[in-house]
Amino acid sequence: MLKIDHLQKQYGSFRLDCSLEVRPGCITGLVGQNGAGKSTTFKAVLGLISRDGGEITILGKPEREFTARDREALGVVLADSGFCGYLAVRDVIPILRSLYKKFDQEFFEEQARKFQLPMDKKIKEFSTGMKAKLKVLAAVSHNARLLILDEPTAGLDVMARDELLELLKDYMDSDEERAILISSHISSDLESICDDLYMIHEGRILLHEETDVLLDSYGLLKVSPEQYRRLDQQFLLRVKRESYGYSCLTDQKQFYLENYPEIVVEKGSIDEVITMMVKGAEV
Amino acid sequence: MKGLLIKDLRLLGGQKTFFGALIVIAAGMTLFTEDTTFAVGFLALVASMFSLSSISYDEMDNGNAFLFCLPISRALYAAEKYCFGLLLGTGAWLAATLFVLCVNVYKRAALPLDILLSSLMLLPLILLMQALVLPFDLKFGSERGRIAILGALGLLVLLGVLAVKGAEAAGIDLAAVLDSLPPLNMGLLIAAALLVSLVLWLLSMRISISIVKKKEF
Repeated sequence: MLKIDHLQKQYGSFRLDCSLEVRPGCITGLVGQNGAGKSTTFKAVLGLISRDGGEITILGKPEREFTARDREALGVVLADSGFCGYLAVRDVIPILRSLYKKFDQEFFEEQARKFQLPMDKKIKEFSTGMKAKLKVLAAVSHNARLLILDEPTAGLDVMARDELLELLKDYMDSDEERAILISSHISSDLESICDDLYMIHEGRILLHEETDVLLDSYGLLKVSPEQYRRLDQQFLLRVKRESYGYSCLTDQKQFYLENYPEIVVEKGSIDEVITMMVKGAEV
Repeated sequence: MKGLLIKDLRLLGGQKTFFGALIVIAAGMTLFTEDTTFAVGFLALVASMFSLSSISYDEMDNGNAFLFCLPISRALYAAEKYCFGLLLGTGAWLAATLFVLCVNVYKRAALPLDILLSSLMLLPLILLMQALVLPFDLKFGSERGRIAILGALGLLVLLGVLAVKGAEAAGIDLAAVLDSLPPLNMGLLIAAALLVSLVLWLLSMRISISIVKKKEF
């Protein structure tokens, strides 16, 4: 659905070099801190900025050959951009109907009612949650094959986040050939819906892993200096000095649970894995 | 282009009061003064310049980035701004011309042919204004674009003054020459002005397309 091969972009001292792939039927997450390069990657994929190098293939076509007509197959949410605030939902409907041959007006209106989006109120008067819902709703209501969602849940409360994630799950369930690339700095959002995750830091992909593997096999070992010396270090990815000794990130949690029953092994949440990948030292 | 036109028309709908006030001013000037063409020029120019407002709306809160993720090419976006301005400008021009004609026929004031010729003389001006301001607005954005437009207008006025002074120095009175033209020649002059301004309008559109294509969001 989407393949990025060594996408490069330089902004002053910031350098992006990103490769990733989104497969059909999958929700792929791009997770990283603010300024890690998520939005730059999205903008390059969408042709909003030029790139210094690398290749991008969207729905089987090189990005440079991807036409305006081809964009009907994409649904896009950008973190810092959307419909003009002086329009109302009632104005957005005929615009989408004119732009997308497959715009499902009935679905859009039904979901807008469900999300309690007022039809005649100007978008600039919407709450953050209402704006986010409208953006996602516009992206999923024209039978797009690929959704590219940059921080769709930013600034939302738990309830609003759940509603949006539910909408995305429904979108995926209705056609197994669809796919989503989604970014967020709230890893719990991605944990619940993504099939695989890419971690980006300072413009580089640090880690790519299936979410199930990440949650099941990755773990944090908390060891004293003595325990660390005796530890088989071949399955350690990162290590960080702590007041009690060391914390170590592993992708073979079970190995240490079975062979070192005396050490503390914690389940690695995505946030912890990110922190260790960024702040820990390579073994 | 239909989707973009709908968007801009819907945004225009939000300024009903402003346009209503303009219509009242123009109608008042036509009904209560001797000026026959003020309403036509005023309404047509202001209406055609709504293209600029629509660019400001699009730029607001980085809205352009989202617009260019929709099935819209950058070339089409730039062309739509010209077409939108032309639609509004000529629409307002036609409506105002008809209104002024009716009022003058009723008041038995100016001759319909004179009004028509005066109105027609404004059409190239509408095209030229658009051709001049839209590339600046698209290139520099609404704020800096306005400053660039003012600079360009100043330059044009300076060139105009120099041309008139030059003609005077050569012993030619341009105003007297224009006044002495018979209506047939006046018609030809307007047709030529329309043709030249249309070519410049198309050239300007081409420049704007290339400007928008190079922009990053």
